[in-house]
Amino acid sequence: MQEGGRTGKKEPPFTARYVYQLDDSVLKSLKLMYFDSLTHEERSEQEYKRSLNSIVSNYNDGTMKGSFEPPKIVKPRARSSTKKHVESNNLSDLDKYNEKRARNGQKLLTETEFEAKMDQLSISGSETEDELDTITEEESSNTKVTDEADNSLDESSISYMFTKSPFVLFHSGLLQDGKCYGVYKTTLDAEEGKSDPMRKLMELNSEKFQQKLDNSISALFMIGGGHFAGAIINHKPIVTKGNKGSPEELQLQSVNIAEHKTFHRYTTRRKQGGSQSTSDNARGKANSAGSTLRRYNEQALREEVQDLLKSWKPLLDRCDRIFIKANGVYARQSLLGKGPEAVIEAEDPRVRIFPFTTKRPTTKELRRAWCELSYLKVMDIPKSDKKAVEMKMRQREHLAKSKEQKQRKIDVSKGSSEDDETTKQLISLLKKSKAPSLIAYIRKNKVPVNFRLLPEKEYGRNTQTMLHYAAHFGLSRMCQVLLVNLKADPTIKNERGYTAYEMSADEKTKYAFEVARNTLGEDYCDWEKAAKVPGSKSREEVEEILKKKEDESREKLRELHEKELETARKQFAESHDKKFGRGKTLGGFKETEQHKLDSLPHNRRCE
Amino acid sequence: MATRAQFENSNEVGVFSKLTNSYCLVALGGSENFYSAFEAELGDVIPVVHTTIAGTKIIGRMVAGNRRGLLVPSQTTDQELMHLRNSLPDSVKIQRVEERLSALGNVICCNDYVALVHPDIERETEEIIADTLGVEVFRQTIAGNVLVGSYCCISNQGGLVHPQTPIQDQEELSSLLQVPLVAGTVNRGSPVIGAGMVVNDWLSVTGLATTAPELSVIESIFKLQDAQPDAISGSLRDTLIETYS
Repeated sequence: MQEGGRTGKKEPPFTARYVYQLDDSVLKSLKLMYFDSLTHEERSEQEYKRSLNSIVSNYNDGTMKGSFEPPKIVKPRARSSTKKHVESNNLSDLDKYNEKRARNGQKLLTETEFEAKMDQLSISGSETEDELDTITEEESSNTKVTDEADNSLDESSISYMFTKSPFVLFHSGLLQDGKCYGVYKTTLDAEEGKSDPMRKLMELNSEKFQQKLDNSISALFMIGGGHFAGAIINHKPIVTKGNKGSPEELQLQSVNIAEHKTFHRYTTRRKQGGSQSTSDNARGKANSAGSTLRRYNEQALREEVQDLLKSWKPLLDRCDRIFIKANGVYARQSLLGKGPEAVIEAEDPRVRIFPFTTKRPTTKELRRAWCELSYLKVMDIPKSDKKAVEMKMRQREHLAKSKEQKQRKIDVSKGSSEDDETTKQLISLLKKSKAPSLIAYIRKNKVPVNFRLLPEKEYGRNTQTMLHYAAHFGLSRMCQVLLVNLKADPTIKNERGYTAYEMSADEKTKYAFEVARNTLGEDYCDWEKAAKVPGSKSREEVEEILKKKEDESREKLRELHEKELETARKQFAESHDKKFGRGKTLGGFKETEQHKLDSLPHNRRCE
Repeated sequence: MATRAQFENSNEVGVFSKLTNSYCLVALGGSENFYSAFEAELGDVIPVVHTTIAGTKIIGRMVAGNRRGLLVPSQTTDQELMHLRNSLPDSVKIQRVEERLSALGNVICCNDYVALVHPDIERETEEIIADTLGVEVFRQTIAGNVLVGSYCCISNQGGLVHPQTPIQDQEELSSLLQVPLVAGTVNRGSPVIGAGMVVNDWLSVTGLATTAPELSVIESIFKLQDAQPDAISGSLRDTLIETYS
C-alpha cells in the first residue's frame, strides 16, 4: 500500500498477502523464481526442469554414482565359518570376480550387484574367465565417461533455493519492476529444497485448508535473558477493517492470538552479561546474594515455563508448526525435552527456529514475528554475481590453460621418445664401459656413431655426442673404442664450441685421444685444428708415461703416509705425556755409583 | 545423536574423553563447550566424570573400559582411583593394570562383548581384560597397525576402522566382533579413528573438523539416528536376561 502510493501500480493490501489466506488475484499472479547456484542469476522454469531432468536421468544412469556412493559396510559372518571361508580353495564366483576387480583397482561388488551382472551374462564352465574380463573392461570404459560427465555437472545447478537469503522468491505481475514477493523458506517447508513451494502455497489456499483455517494453530515461543514469551496463534486473522492506524499497526492487530503468556525473572548478570548458570559453569559457583537470587530465578523460570507448556499441551499437540527462539543449552532444555514426559520433543518435526533476529521476548514481538513469517514480503530481486563469478571462472580457465601448457611442454620433451630411449640405452652402456655390448647395440639398431644425444636440453650443452659424453666423464677406454673401433668423429663441437678432446675430464682420457691419433694416422681427420688434439703418442709411450706418473704418485703417497704417521706418533706421545707425565723411576731416586757401592761390604768397595 | 566438539583447540576428542554405555570420563581443563557436548546428552542418564589419569589429560588414551568395568594404568594415583571409585556406578569394576604398554586406550579397543588388543600385550593383562570387562579378547592388528585402540572405534552396534583396512581384514574383524564394520575417517580425513571420536550405543562425539559425509557414515554405522538412551534396554535385553538368569 505504502509502496503503491508512489507508483502507478497499486499493490494489494496486507490482508491479500497473508500466506494462509492469499487473495486469488495475488495467488494467480505468483510465479516462482529460480536461480543459478553459482551466479545467482535468475533462470526460467524450463531451465530448472531441464536441469532437474538431467540430474534425475544421470542418477538413473548411475553416472552420479561416484559422488553419492555410500561406503561399503562389512556385515559380520558367523565366526566359525570365516576361517573356513577364507581358506577354502574353491572360492565362489563372486570372490573370484572380486579378486580380479581388486587386482584391476576397481571397486568390489556386493552379492546383489554381482547377481544382477550375472543375469546379463551367465557364467558357465571354462568361458568364465574371458567373460569376466569383458565385463571389467566395459566397466572401466564406463567409469571414464562418468568422470568427464561429473566435471561438467558440478559447474552449476538451478533451483529456487539459491536466493542468497532465507526467502523463496516469487514474481508477480502486481508489483513494479525489480520487485518480487518473498516468503520465508521455513513457512513453506522448503528449507531442504525438496518440496515445491508453489504447490505448498496452492495447498495452503485450497478449499480444504481454508475450511479448517479456523482450527489450525501454530505456537511461538521465545526465551532469553530471563524473559519468556509464548503464544498460540490461530491462522485465521482478525478482521481489522475500520480500525485506526498505519498498515503496519493494523497488520499487528490482525494477528489472532488464542493464548499468550509472558514471564520475566531476574536471571541475567547485570553489567557482566550472560546468565548465572553459564557463569557458574565457567568459573565455579559465585557465593553472592545476587548470584543466589539469579540461580533461584533461573530455576523458577524454567519451572514456570514447563508448567505453562504442560497446561497448553492439548493445544500444542494440535499445532502445525512450533517456532522457538532459545539460545543456549539451558534455555533450550526448558522448552524442548526428551522422553515421554516432554511436552515438545527435541526431535519433533514441527519445531522450527525463527529465520530472523528477534528482540526481547514480548507478546508484541511474537506478533511481529508472526507477521514476518506469514505475510508475503515485497522485496528487491537479488542482484546476480555474474561478473564476480565470471571473473572467477576466467581465472580458473587461465589456471587450467597454464596447467595444460605445462603438461604439453612435458609431453613435447617426452615427444620423440624413441630417440630418448636410444640415448638412455647408449648412456647406460657407456657408463658401464661395456665396449662389446655398445658396439653390438650400435650395429644392431643402426645408430649413427655421431648420434646426437637427446633431449637436446639435457645433453646438447656439454655432451652432444657419445664421444663427448665419454670424454666428459673420463671414460678413457670408451673414448678409445669410439674413436678406433667405431670411427667416431672427434671434430664435432658441442653447443659451447668445444670438441670432445677439450671436454676431457683427465689426463688419461686425453692420452686416449692422442693414442687414437697415432693409430688412426694423420689422414683420418684434421687432428691439430679441427679436433684440437695437440699430440700423437703411441700406445707404448703413453703406457710409459702413465707408469711413470703412477710410480711418482705412489711415491708421493707413501711419503705423505709416512709424514702423517710420524706426526700421529708424535702427537700420541705428547698427549700421553700430558696426561700421565713422563714417568719416574720406581723408588723415587736415581741409582748412582755411590748407591751401588752402599750395598757392598767395605772390603769389596775398592774394586 | 552424533555431535562435534573440540578440546582446547584439538579435534582429537577421543584423546581427552572416554565414553561407554554406563559412564563417561572427560579430562580436566577443557572448555564448557566440550563438557556440555557430553552433559547435554548424558547428564541425567550416566555419570560424566571429570578426571585426570596419572596427572595427565589424555585420559582417553590411558584407560580402556566398557559398561562393566574400567582399566586404568599402573601410574594412576590413589587419589584419582578414589575419585573414580566414588563417581562411577557401583556396578562398574575398576582395575589397575601393571602393563608395559601403559596407554591402555591405544592398545585395547572394546565394546561390551569383545576386545581387540595389541599383539604384544602381556598374558596377565589379557586375563584381567577378560575378567574385568567381561569380554572375549582377540590379539589383532588393524591395517597393519598394532595400536588397535587408536585406529578403530567400536560400539555394540557397529565399528569404524582405519580407511586403508583391506576388505578381507574387515571381514575377519567383523566376524570376530559380530558387528558391521566400515572403513572410514574422522576429522576431515584423519585415519586415527580412536583418537578422533568416542562412541557408545546412543551418542557419538567427534572432532569439530569432522565433515558431514564422515558424520553421516558414523551415524549410519553406529545406528545413531534414532538412538535413545532408553532404547538400550530393548537392544540389550539378551544380555540383561543372561545377567539375571
